[in-house]
Amino acid sequence: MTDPTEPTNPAERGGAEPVAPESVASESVESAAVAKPAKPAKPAKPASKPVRPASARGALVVGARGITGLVGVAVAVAAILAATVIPGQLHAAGVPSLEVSPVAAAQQRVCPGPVLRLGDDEGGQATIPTSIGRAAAVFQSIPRTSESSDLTSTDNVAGVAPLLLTLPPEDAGETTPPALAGSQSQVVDAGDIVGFATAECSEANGDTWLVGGATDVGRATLITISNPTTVIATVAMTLYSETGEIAAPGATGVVVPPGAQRIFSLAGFAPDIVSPVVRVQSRGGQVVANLQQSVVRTLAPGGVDIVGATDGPSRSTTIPGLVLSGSDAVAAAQGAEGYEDLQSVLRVLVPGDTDANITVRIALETAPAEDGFTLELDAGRVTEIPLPGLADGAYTVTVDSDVPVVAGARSSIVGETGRSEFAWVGSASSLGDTGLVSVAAGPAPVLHLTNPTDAEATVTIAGLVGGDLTVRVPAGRGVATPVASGADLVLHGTAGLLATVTYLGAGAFGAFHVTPPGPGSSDITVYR
Amino acid sequence: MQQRVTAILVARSGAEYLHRTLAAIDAQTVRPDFFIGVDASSADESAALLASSGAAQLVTAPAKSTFGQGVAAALHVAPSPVAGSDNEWLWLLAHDNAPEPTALAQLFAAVEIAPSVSVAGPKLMRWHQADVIAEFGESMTDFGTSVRLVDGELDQAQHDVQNDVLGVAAAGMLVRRSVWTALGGFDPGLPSTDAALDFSIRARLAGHRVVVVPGARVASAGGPQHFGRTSTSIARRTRISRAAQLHRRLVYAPAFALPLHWVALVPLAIIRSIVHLLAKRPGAVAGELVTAFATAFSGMAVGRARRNLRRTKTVGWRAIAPLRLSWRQAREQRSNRYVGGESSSEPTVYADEPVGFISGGGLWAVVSAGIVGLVAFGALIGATSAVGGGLLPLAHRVSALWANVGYGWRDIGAGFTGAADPFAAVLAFGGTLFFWNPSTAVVVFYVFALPLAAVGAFFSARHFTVSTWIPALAALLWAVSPPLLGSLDTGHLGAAVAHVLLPWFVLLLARGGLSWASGAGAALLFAVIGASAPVLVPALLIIWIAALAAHPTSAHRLLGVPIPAAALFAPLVIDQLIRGTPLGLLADPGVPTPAGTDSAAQLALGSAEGGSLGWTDVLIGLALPGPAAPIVVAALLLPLAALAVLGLFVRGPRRAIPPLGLALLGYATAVLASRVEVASIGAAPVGVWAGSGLSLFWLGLLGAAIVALDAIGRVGRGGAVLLGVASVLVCVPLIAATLLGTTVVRPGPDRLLPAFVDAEATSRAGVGTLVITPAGDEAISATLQRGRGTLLDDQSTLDATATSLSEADVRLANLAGNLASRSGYDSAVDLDDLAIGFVVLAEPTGDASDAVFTRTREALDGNALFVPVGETTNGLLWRYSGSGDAVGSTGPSNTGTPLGLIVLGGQGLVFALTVLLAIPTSLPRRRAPVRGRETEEPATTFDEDTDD
Repeated sequence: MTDPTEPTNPAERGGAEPVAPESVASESVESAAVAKPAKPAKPAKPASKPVRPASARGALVVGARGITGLVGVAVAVAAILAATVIPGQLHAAGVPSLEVSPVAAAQQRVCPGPVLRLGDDEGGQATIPTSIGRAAAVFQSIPRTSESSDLTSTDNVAGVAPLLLTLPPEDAGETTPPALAGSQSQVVDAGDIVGFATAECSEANGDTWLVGGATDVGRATLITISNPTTVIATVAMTLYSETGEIAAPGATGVVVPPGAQRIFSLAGFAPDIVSPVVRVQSRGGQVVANLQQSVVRTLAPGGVDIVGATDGPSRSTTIPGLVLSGSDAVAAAQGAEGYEDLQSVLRVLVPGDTDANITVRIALETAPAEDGFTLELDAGRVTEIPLPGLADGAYTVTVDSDVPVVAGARSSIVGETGRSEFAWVGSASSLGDTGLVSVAAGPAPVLHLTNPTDAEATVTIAGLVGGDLTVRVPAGRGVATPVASGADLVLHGTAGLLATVTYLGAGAFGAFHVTPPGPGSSDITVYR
Repeated sequence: MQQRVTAILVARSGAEYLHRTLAAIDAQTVRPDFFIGVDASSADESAALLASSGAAQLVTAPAKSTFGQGVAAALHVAPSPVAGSDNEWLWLLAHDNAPEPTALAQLFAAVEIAPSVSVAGPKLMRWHQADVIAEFGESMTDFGTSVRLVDGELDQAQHDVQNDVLGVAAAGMLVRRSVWTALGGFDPGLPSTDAALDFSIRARLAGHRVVVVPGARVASAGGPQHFGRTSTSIARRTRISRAAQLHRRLVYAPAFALPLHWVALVPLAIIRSIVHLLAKRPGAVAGELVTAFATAFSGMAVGRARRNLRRTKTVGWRAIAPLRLSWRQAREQRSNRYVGGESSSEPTVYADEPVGFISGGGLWAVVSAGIVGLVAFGALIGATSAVGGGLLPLAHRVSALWANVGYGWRDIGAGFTGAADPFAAVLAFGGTLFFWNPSTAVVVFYVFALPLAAVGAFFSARHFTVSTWIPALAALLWAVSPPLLGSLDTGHLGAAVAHVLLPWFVLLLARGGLSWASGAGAALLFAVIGASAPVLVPALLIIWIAALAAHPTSAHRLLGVPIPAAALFAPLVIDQLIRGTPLGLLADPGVPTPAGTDSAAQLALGSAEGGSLGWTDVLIGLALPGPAAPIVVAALLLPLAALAVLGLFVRGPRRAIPPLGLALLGYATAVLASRVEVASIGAAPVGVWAGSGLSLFWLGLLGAAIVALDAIGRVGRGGAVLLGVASVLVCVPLIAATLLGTTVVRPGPDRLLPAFVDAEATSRAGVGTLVITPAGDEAISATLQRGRGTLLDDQSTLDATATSLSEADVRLANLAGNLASRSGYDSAVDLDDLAIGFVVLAEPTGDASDAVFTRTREALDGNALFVPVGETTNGLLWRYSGSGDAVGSTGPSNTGTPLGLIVLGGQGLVFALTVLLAIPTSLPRRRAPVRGRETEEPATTFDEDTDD
């Protein structure tokens, strides 16, 4: 279309009349625009090209493509390889956090309070706890003196409330970590409750395990729960026995008001139990819980003891300071009816649902541990393991288990008058580098330091009558040091060690562990 | 009486036209009595040409003088007029006005027979198209817009009936010299455009007639604005004509309306700018605003012109009203405009018609992807929100969503004043679409993410192939792909959004050179993708630069692509730079989510969260060795990889290079993303989600595979089937993740905090809840949540990427550390100041945290300030007994500071302009509705023709 019009165009434009050529010209413009699609003729040229040089140029093109492709593959492989060799992190911004040293709070310890019994001297009012006399408490603190006061209320109708020890918070800039220690003891001789009871004043806790007590005939066990905090504590007691966990209505949801001591008879929850273990958990305020056991065999008083907290379930439990004395007399006496529980026993609870295989090793504290014996214990039950045939001395009992267990041990003495007395010791917690021990008044107190670690420890004991003493505590063994009644001792170098104070006298037998300050105030890392 | 004509030819650098013009003047059948040449400081040989012509006089005008000033200069040397004579005429010509031989004769004939005619204009024809009318008379609309009565029409004598007009062009104008002198010539306030129209109007108002003479033809190379210029841009032309119109408006307005017009100048300019953007004339915006200000402060020009008008005006405006063009006529005239030669200079591309959405199977691909999406995320249907991984519910009110954009108080943790995440704007926009419950936006996105991705991939793939079935395959494979499913399964909302939008971005960028709308659309998508997956920004910039290089001729439409993203990111960039954590800009928006570690090989296999796309579990479930999973995945991905690489070996390897480059870019992004840790949550460092990079990687691989399939044509069908089956199959474990319960995304709860807190927060919105989470041995993490909980739109990467604790953070950490300890710290002060009403202690997740959990619980239990509420689904809850009506200190809102307003205003402006530009309207011109019966309407076929 364009070809025929174009040649005519100049010819016509030469014409004189302006009108005619313009109209033609305009047409030609339009036709040129319309003719544009004719362009596709162009691709015909390149299309013919590849046909011709099939040999030379085609090979070149294919070769070029091949090279392009191979370069592409090489780049891909190189990329993955390069990515592989990039080291782990090119940039790590870091996680911001703050190490918070909590502001020291006032340290508080609560002593268990006086020995109690149900009913009055005349045997009346059998459900009302009444105290017998007062316990003598000693306490000390560093670096400042502490204050003591009685709790504001108690279930004890005699009105003798436990002693509350308070160490005010540290001043700014104080370098010595404050520490507070106290213990109490009481010699009781009131009717059928006769003996010596001692216990450590301990920090309040949200979860306390108590191994001890019995509620079969002649054995009375009371649970004392003190709330030194300023908030209401709602306490749940879980009772385990040789038959398993006991459903005890009323043992949960127990309200302990701030500053109050509540006293319950274990028999009220679980009568006729030979080997109870009590777990005391509290929400809200934290509490100090103790058991107080007294034994009367027919009419013969069999002793009294206050049981302190033992460690929570653990796969490796160490019970230091189990003192045996007068083994022969005890062995002789325990044959009689009702005197079977003079036998030294290890009481083990397997909480949870898995049976435990435990290995028990008993060794004199000064001797290295020997091979023990192995037992399989039922889950959920308390098992008492008699420890017969042991010579006099202070022993360390270790229980290794494949599932966490709770353990405590009891030993008894029989005095010259035939009166017996017993004491419970539980597993103890490791001390920090500095330990504070207040030795309550009592006969022949001995400080046992036991080293469950793998390294020998050197401990300096300050506050002894004869001046400071440095003792070496070999790994896995213990050292006994006689101390003065009523002494305030400061131990250094005790990291990882266990400390127990035992008393042994005529008709007087008792022990308590030294517990470190709770973990509640150690440094904590806070992330956003 | 003897008529005398003085021809005045004003030339400026017009040598190329002058030959023809001078020759034409020489050839006049009626020769002008005087011929004065005016050289307005030409740069070429114009002056010499004039000198060698038959001009009686040669005048040199100053360099910057206008056409009107050139004429005035000529008049100084013209023979003095006979006093009072009305028979002296001036014939005004510019260098590019070549009159036909009879032009002057015709003009004369017209003025001779009508003494009332003082101004006569010829019919201006196009310089190179003597049959096309360039201009034939001027008028103005009711609004004062100047209109060329005829503009680019084939001359078929259709306008030859016209006679009286409002105005004529300066070119070829024959004007009575006495009138010219009386009226003061052209208005100096109108340097070029409209000067002649204004002069004509003043002549009319002075009682003279202005006519056009059809028989007189003068060729013209351009409008008055071209005088002395080799070329003028559209923007410049628009600016000049707008300036002229505004000047005339102020001059013509009655005195009382003048202030009104003056005040309206700038507002009107803003409104007109928006219209310009909608009409895709971004170049006109600057001129619009500049002229408005320039006119508003033009000084004496308006006053002088007004005085001049008042002096000469003898008749009222009413007298010339019939000659004005009604608005409707103007529109009709505009729509009938002939589009001739010069505008068709753009090459026409004859491309094969792309395959249709339905005919090409796009619908089937989308429906299939929809079904897969339903299988994968159908569990979310009916949920009010989705939570888990990086997800949380959105705010309940749209206003709260928008309060979290810009620069202001970030209500996360202890709170701080800083820049919002750009993603907050994306969330706010999405939430606004579901204004009754913004969280629905996330749920709906999850359910429809796959089909949405398929739609984008279809239209994008369609652009790159003419095959009828490849786009549908690409759509399916882009939707059912490991990166998208991986991002969705792990709650990486931003990465999934980016995945859905990436094909659109590539498509618009590829088309960006063709229209402003697609360029602006690409800019918007750049911003949204960048906001959703900041780690992609470097890759997007590289793609953008590549696109600029690929379309150098239309680069101006793509040049602004990163601007909206830059506006969105600017405050955050500044904040991060000031803090010294520039890499924090890469952090994924949303809840920080620690991801598993990826090896380079795992990334190459498309797995962003470590593992082997869930195949390990599947194999173990099938009693097969789990470690074989990578081999299975590699085998299933082999067709894709093979086809992608094949693109390099087959015909047209050049087409395969860009997508493979894209894949390399994506892979590099993914690898680098997996190798940096930029944020943290609690004690856990948080890296950058590699899935975003993998999306780009996948896009490149699919693109290269498409190119290969396109090239090998029919032969490739088997490969395509294999590719489709294998690539869908590889995603099966990811699709089944919700069914298998391996996904972390789940229907959201109605509340984030315990019901007790939630109830309190509804009445006390500012109540704070301290959430303490055990974080291993002797470590906790403490976060503060306000009101009903920290929501997705409250999240801030600025907070998550902090490498040190702020003052407020330290205070909070100190409080939390003491609350978690048996402590003598006076917590009440902090609790009151921070308006904390509750403390939640989350259950420990590992044995290592048990001890610290117990310690914290006991400490809180023993704290007399707190009353235990009990166990909740979120953990243990305590209420602060002293909690009164304390209100936590918050900072200014995003509109509360000048800086915040600037940020918000700036971002809003940039986005408003971009959106206006991106709205795909070419504003099809409507014709004036024809009133009357239907039978009177023209045949519709004409409509269709002229629409194009």
